[in-house]
Amino acid sequence: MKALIDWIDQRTGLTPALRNRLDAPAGGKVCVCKVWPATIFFAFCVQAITGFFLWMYYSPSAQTAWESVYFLQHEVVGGWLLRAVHHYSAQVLLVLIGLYLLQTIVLGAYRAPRELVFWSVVAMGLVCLGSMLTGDLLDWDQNSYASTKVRVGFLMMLPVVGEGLYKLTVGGPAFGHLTLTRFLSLHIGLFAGGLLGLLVLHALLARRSGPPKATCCSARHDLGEDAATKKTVDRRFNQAVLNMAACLVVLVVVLLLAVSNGVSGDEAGVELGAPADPNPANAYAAARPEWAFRGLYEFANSKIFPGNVKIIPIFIIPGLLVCVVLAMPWIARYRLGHVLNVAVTAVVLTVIIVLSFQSYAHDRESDDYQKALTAGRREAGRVLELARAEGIPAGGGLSLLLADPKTQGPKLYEQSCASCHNFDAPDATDAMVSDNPSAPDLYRFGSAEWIGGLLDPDQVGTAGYYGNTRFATGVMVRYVEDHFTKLPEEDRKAIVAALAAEARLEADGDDDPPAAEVIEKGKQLIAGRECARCHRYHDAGTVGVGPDLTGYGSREWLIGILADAAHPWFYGPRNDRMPTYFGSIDDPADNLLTAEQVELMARWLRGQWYEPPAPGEMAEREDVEQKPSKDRPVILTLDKWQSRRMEGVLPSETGPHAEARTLYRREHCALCHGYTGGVGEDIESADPVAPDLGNYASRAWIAGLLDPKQIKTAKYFGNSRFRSGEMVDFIVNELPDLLEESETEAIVAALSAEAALPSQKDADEAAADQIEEGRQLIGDYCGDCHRFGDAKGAGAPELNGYGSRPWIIALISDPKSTRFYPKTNDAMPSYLSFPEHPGRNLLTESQIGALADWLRGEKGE
Amino acid sequence: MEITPHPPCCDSPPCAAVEDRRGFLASTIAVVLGTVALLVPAILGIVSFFNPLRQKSTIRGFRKVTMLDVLPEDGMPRKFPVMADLVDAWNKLPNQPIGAVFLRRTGKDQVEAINVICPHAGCAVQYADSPEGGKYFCPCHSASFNINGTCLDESSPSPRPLDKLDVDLEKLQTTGEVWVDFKNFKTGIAGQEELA
Repeated sequence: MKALIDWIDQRTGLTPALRNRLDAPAGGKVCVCKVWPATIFFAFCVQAITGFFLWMYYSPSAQTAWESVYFLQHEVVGGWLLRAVHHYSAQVLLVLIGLYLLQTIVLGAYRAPRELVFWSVVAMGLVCLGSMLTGDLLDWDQNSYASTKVRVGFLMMLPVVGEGLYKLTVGGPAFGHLTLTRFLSLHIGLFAGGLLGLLVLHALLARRSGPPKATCCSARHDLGEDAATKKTVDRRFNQAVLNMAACLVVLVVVLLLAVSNGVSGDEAGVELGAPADPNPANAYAAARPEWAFRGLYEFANSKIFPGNVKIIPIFIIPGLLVCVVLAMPWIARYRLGHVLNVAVTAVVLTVIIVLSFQSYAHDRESDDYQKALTAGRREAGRVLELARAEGIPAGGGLSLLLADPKTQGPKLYEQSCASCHNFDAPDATDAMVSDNPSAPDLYRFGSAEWIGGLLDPDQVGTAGYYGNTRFATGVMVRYVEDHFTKLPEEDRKAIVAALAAEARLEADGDDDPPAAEVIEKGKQLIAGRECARCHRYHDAGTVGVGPDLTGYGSREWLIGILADAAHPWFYGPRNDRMPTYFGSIDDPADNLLTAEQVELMARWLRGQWYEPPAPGEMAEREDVEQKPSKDRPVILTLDKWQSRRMEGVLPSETGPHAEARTLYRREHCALCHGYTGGVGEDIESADPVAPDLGNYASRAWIAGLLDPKQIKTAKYFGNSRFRSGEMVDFIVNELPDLLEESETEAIVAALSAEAALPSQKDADEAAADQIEEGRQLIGDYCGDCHRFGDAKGAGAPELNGYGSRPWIIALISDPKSTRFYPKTNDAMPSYLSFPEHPGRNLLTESQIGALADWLRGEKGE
Repeated sequence: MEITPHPPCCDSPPCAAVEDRRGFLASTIAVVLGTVALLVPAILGIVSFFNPLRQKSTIRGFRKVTMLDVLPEDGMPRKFPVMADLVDAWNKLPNQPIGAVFLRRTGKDQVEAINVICPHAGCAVQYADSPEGGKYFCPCHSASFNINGTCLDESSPSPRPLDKLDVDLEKLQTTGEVWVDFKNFKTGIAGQEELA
């Protein structure tokens, strides 16, 4: 053994060199004040060793950096500890350099000829800070990304070189792959390598300069130095032991810090946030620098420095401070210079410590900060769940998170939907509520509860449903008010149950699900006249009147309506302000949302997302699929809707009164009223339940109305609720006995004259006497119910100006007004009942005017 | 056993004066040659290091952000991502969020666009509604701005108001689409200079 050692020593001089190295810095007495270089070197070695192995796992690119750290942290055995030791030994290294520097200043050990020794320590400190700044980003999580962006952004403050420095640091105009590759090579090559170089330089310089004249121990033992050197061997050996013991203490401290968050579980080691999201719309709002920079952070934030002079606290003052520290050996040459140095150091250090504490105190008290921190941690936890369930796709952890309805749904909703739709969740953290929603509340959309509210006459017209939309007094609201309420209760329940079943909501936490028979009954009711009159429902009903009810609230249905509410299968041209979020598969840049976002929103509204099984549940639920459910690709669903785009499109009208004729069909007049024999082609009503309006208010039309044989036909009141009403009863049973034929003719002429139709202008003028007689008769026979002239009437429509332009406009605007059918209105919408809120009306005044002109046979344009 | 170093093969003892002169010349040449030799790889490296200076931002230009109808009529600002193709070194990623803007109605068909990036340090400002009126604030260094984007206090950390962006009014009024001329600006300086 000895022979081997000798053989090596002769060729390398290893043992003498080692002995020399170990002993040299000791110089005088064995003392704690001499352990710094050794511990610093030790901490560096820990960094180098752990760093090397971290490097083996690290992959610097925007889609793999966080992912590789995730893998190390959560998949590699002991990876979390390796990372934690690297992290905390870096902090400890900085503290050690700081303490060494402090001791050097306080003891005046920077005095000649040790200036360069001192400088090398200052440089070590700076390099160590640089290493922390570059190392921080490598996690590429929310905090490291956001805080690095701020720091690097400060470079732009520098005049002339600012932008160039910024680009050189970032590796281009924006953060990305090249930022990571640059930071990694700076971290390892420049800072870690530089630190090693400085350590060697420091050792060489320190040896050359000899032991400091003043150290805490030598100061007291200067006189006895000669005596001391005699026993150097002993003491030097002891110093080496003390150094190693100090290193061990450093190691223990690092390990204790590393396990301070526990030794198992997801929180063990150093926190890894959610992957960085470069989208400024999702920016992380709790970005803060590491502890070492907290003092500077608070200082730079100080109100003393307004925005345009921030360069002073961020660059100039710290720069000057470094210069002062570097100049300390020369300052100390003057009388009291050393005292000044110590005083400056003490003040600066105190200020930094106080500011750091202040900064942490601010954050503790700031609700916004705490909220952002919690939100970030929630996302970090969520991405872990998803990564474990699905694995990380090539797009990285971020793509996993961005496709997650649970965390992204609320953000997207707030951004794209919440300005019109409330989301009134009982849990306050999820709720998004504004005072003035202009569209239905979508919380639990499609559930039995939601549909029940929609079909409740007390709710459908409120702000939670259609109250603030243009459908506020539209066909659906009128249907619910006038017809749905009249159905037997079990039918109503069946319809709600069947419609809710269409959504197939997983999260429908119903304790008492409706029976299959009830749903079946409801399906038949929906497919019958009740709903399918206006809505498509599976094979029943027509397209293009009301929204499709097939799969109402299901994933596919929601994808369809979110993509394009103005699709003929949904609201078509009647769509009320809802934007087309995904109108074109071929031109993605034209869409307001991506296909993935549309799907995400659909799934979030349905409460459909992956939840990991609770710990105890694993064993019980082995048969249940634990993986997130795989739906058919969203693009196929979008394609299905897009291929249906031409179905249910209304024929375009041309010629005179094209606008009125288009409105007549589009706004559902034709749903109930036919139009035969008037201006232009006939418009057929699929299900005429209200009077035909062809030649409305003409003598022939009124004569038919007053004809006992005709009034009960489909052309007049045959299918409406009035068929068994007082008017029909009066015409059929009483009028023939009361009036002569000529008297009836006079009434017809007089009533028609009220309309003053352009086509009857001459006839009306010729029959002035007959009309006068008719007016008398109307007052006598109709005045009990209808307001006319002096007659007050009672609840039936006013006959003054019957069929005239203002009368028609008023009726269309609001048939429920006291002039017309305040109590007996039969589901006719009020097309303009909120003059002060244009957004809530189905038609504008000019549109209604156009309809009136056409119905009256005015000369069209 | 002591080992004496083997004498170099070409070691012949010349006279001291000649050695001095020759030695000086030789070391000068050696230093020059060595420097030149090392400069070549260093220059290669430095040239590539400076490549980012040539890279120009690809994000600017008019982008369709949303529809006018989406914006609340009461003038509340809403945050929207701005989508465009993103070039990140070797990757070209289609239709990515490259920035974000606050949009708010300032009239029936008038829209104001503000870049969310805080002019102080480049964080994204947030909007907070309050009874005294809404304001933007920055979560990083607490800069705050009123709804027009101007700084709320004189000692604000932000050197200038929030950066406004142009909105294509013609498109807005004819199609109801909100197109914004998106760009980023240098942070931390009083003047508004585009970050190209």
